Amino acid sequence: MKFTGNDAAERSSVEAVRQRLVRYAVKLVWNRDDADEIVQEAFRIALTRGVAVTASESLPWLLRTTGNLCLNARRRRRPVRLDEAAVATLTSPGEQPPDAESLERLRAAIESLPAQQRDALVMRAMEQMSYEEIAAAMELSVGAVRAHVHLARRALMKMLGSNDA
Amino acid sequence: MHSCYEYRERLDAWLDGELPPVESADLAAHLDACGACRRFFDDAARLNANLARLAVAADRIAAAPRRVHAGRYAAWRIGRIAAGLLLAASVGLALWSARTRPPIETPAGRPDRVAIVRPAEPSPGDLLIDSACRVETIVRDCTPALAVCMPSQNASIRIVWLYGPVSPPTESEPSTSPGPASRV
Repeated sequence: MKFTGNDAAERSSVEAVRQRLVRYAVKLVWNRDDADEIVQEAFRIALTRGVAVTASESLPWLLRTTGNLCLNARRRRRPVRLDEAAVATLTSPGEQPPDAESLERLRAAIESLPAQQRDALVMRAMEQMSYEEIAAAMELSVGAVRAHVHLARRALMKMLGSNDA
Repeated sequence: MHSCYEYRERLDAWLDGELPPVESADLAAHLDACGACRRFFDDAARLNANLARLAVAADRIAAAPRRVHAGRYAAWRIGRIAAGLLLAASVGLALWSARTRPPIETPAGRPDRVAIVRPAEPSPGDLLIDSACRVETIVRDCTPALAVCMPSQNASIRIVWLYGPVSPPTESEPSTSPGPASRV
């Protein structure tokens, strides 16, 4: 289906895809402006290549393209810092909130992972995608994705000071 | 009964909720008995919880109304374009100046080259314009016999008129080459 922008339902579904991609891009670059620009670029590439952005089978391609663009754009701008007030709102009532510093360290540790491990982990642990969906987005086998997620978790535990990892 | 290594290899299935109930019960029994594995799985659970918190924080950043950055970045881009235009105008002015300035205004007549210099002295990367108004880029130090600093209407650049290299270019050097090393 070619995107014309005339139909309200079509615009709505394009916006839903855009928001999904922006959420993913923010988890990789931690800057809203960069994420918006990256998704816009991904859409531009999709349109020039005739990829239907609203088709569900296009989502893996869009995620992969967005991830690649994020890799190129990392550190273009300063990532948003997580302050204590923002972190305190991330926990459920009665739960001990983590300090902002530990989340910042976790974010830095994720950034230092090899690209495929980082992408697989972000999609699995932060986007809650299934291994099959991740495999389609990364053009890898499910087994390879599981291996990347496993290595990423172990590496993070080691970097963050788990003595037994 | 498995080894600690074998239990720890089930970490991903445990975190992903894919462990069958029987294996889950077996693992729970092992964690009750093994302090090291208990710490390992606790660390992994903490990591998973913090990843989920990071995801929530990222989703909030993505969902927040956009701050008005466009103006700032647009202004920065306009500034870069303006700086480029200013530099182009300066070069044009210098070219025009080199072409039209009467030789009588200088102590040694028409210069062999004109250097448009941003720092205090010509250096690699600056532009050189020869007497026929051909533009060169300085690839190494200039060796003028005489250098005259000319007044410029643009304070960000200096125009230096250069007269003849001290030593002529060697056979291997192109004729437009500024000559061997020595500073202005």
